[in-house]
Amino acid sequence: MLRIIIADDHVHIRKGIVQLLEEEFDNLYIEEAGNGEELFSKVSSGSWDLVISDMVMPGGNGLEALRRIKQDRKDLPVIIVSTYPADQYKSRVMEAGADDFISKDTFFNQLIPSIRRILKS
Amino acid sequence: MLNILIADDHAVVRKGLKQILLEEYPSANVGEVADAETLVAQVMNNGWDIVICDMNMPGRSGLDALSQLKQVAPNVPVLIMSMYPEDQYALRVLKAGAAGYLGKETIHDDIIKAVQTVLLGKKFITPTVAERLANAYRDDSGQQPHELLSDREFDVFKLLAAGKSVSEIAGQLSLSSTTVSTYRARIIEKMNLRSNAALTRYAIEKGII
Repeated sequence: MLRIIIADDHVHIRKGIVQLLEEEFDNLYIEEAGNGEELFSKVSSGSWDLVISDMVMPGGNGLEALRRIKQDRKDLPVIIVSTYPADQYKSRVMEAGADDFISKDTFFNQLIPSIRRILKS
Repeated sequence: MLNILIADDHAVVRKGLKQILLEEYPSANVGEVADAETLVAQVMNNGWDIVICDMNMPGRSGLDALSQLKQVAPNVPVLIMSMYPEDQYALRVLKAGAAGYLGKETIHDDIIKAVQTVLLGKKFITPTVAERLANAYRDDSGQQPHELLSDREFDVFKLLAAGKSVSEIAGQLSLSSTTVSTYRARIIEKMNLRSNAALTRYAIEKGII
């Protein structure tokens, strides 16, 4: 079973990502978090294969959560998504330890290939 | 059967909104389109009960699409959604004929109520927008400079303020560069501002971008 946490403060974005994943993968277990603090708490209390997190969220943003996750669980892959353009933010996010950065503009085409690549490696 | 059409260039947004709508209306037919051209064609050729449309899509702005939808299907209610703050945009959208304005920050809380409201033939208006409407009614002469702009001028103003070049704006709005330059001159005159930097500063101060 593939165990994934999706963190985004917008419910409709989380639901959209869940739909996208369910169309592509069988045997999924997904949990959702609405902010960075909740994300970190859920990561700490379970066993996960992947985190997909928005970069900017209220109550502890995605980058803070990313750094904490990577300190605690270095091998857990984290994909950061954002409405901000990749050319301005990708390098900063990757330096912070993310396994990939995907702009929401190209999300639909890039998320699934990114997940497959990360899980394969 | 309830037929709802969602127009947004982000598939993840369309899928998420569709899921929220289907949880409330399991037998609804919820369609998706990714651009304004397909949206207008869909509304012309198929019977949709409600359209939920993003304000910013490639090729044509949501306000432009709204204006065209009101010509081809004046009785189909159109809810406009946007990431922009409702206190700056909702009045303009409502004046252009929308049935309501949904800010993307609260859309998951508002969308079902908005659909229920427009199905009753009413406008969906949040308390913030209602207050703006009341203020606008009370002081019609006290318009802010950006409120003097036409819808098309306002589209160009937002893009100029966001740092887009004339040619980029021309491409995005399917206009000639000459036309965009004419709009720019009118915007600067109407708003009494001297440069693109001043437009940007104004837009940031007012929370428009």
